[in-house]
Parts: sequence; C-alpha cells; structure tokens
Amino acid sequence: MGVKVIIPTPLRQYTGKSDSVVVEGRTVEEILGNLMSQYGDLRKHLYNDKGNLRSFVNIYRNDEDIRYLEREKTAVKETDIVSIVPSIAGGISDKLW
Amino acid sequence: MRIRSRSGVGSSAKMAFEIKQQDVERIHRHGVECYPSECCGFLLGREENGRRVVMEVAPIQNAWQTSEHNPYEIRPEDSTRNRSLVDPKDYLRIDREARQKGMDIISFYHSHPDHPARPSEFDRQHAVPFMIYVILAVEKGVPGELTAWLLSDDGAQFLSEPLRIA
Repeated sequence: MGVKVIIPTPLRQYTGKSDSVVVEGRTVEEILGNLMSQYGDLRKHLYNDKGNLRSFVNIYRNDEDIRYLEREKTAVKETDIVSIVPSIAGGISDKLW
Repeated sequence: MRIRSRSGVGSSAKMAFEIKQQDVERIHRHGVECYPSECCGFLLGREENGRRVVMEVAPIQNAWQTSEHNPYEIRPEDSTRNRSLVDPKDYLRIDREARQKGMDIISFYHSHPDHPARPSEFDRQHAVPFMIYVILAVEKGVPGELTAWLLSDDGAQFLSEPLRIA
C-alpha cells in the first residue's frame, strides 16, 4: 500500500528534488521508517540522536497534526496524505551577524 | 533593474533572487501593518534559468503567541515584538496552494522592528536549509532595508544572497 508523503521545500534536496514520494506503510511510524530507508539523508533532519522525532518537525495526516492523534502510531489509509511540515521562526536577539 | 549585493558575514555565489518592486512594497506594507510586532510570511515562486524568481507574496499571521505548538525556547521577555513563528497549518495551506499553482515556497520573510535587516543568532540557530530568508528592517514604523540570506551548508553562518529588484 503506497501513501503519498509531501516533502517540504527545505528537504527536497534529499529526495532528488521531488515534492512528494509514495511510501508503503499502515502507520506514520512505518511510513517514516520506509522513507528513511529510501532517503537516508532525511534522518538527521527528522530525528534526534535518541531516535525521536524532533520537536521542530510537524507531521500531518491530511489536516491533522499527529501529536493530537496517536502520534507515530497514527493509522494511515492509502487515500491519506502525510505531510512533513518544518517549524519556521525568526527573531531578533542581541547578537547580529 | 536594480541589483543590490550585501556583504554580510559571507557572500553566496549561488543563484540570484529576483523580486518585483510591487512585491517588495507588499512586504513593506505588511511590516508597517504589524509594527511594532514582527510580520512574517512566505514568498512563492520558481527556479528559472538559474535564478529564483518570486511570483507571489503570502503574508501570514505571526503565531508566536497563538500557535498550538511552539517548540522554541520561550523567555519571559519574548513576544511577537521580537519573535515570529509560522503556524504549521499555515505552512501546510500555503504549500498546497503554491504547488497547485505550479510554484514552491522559496523564501520565508520576517521583519526586524527597530533592528537592522541582518540575521540574528536566533535566526541562524533555527534556520532551515535551502530556504532563502528575507529580512525587512522597520524603523519606527517606516520600512527600510530588505536583505536576503541563505544558511551555509554547515549551518555556521548566513550567506548574503544577491537580491534583484525588478
């Protein structure tokens, strides 16, 4: 079963510039695991040293943040779309470049 | 066509970043509307013939104090006056809309109220790769310098990007 995974602009350099890939899996965990198997360079951007999803990475099943579902155990159907959404922020601090 | 180059801490030899004057003015208006808070948004466009061309400005609400999920350190003195945050739902929506129009999110812009248009340490620590960061200085409610930056491959610094205003 293949599920469409949307790759955000900052990470497309690791997927051959594809903005979406189709990956097998029945849960978010399986899908991301298979995504890492295909595109190993994504791992350091999505997971921390302890193997947990980084807090700066948001994963959506369609329009729902998986944090408010079953997190990585969230079930996924073939018609669902999984989106990787980076946290983006800016600001002022004392030190400027 | 005016070409501006900013020396910053390093200069990128990468592709030029082009934006129309009317889109610069759109960013200016957003910065003024939000002052003294930071404004933020995305620039949508494409890569064409070795250039990144902005085709649309997508202003969004600064969600630093409203987003359900804020993964950044929040100090007592932090607010929208010195921080800007994209609500992931806005990123999702705008990315979908961009792809439907055959475009990509190619840049994140935000303003620096009463501060220079140069990346801060906060900007550097939390920058994502490959995304052009456009910064607008807004001094006492008046839009000033507009600059563009790209995080170096090792994440150690921002490199200035040539910004062409057509």
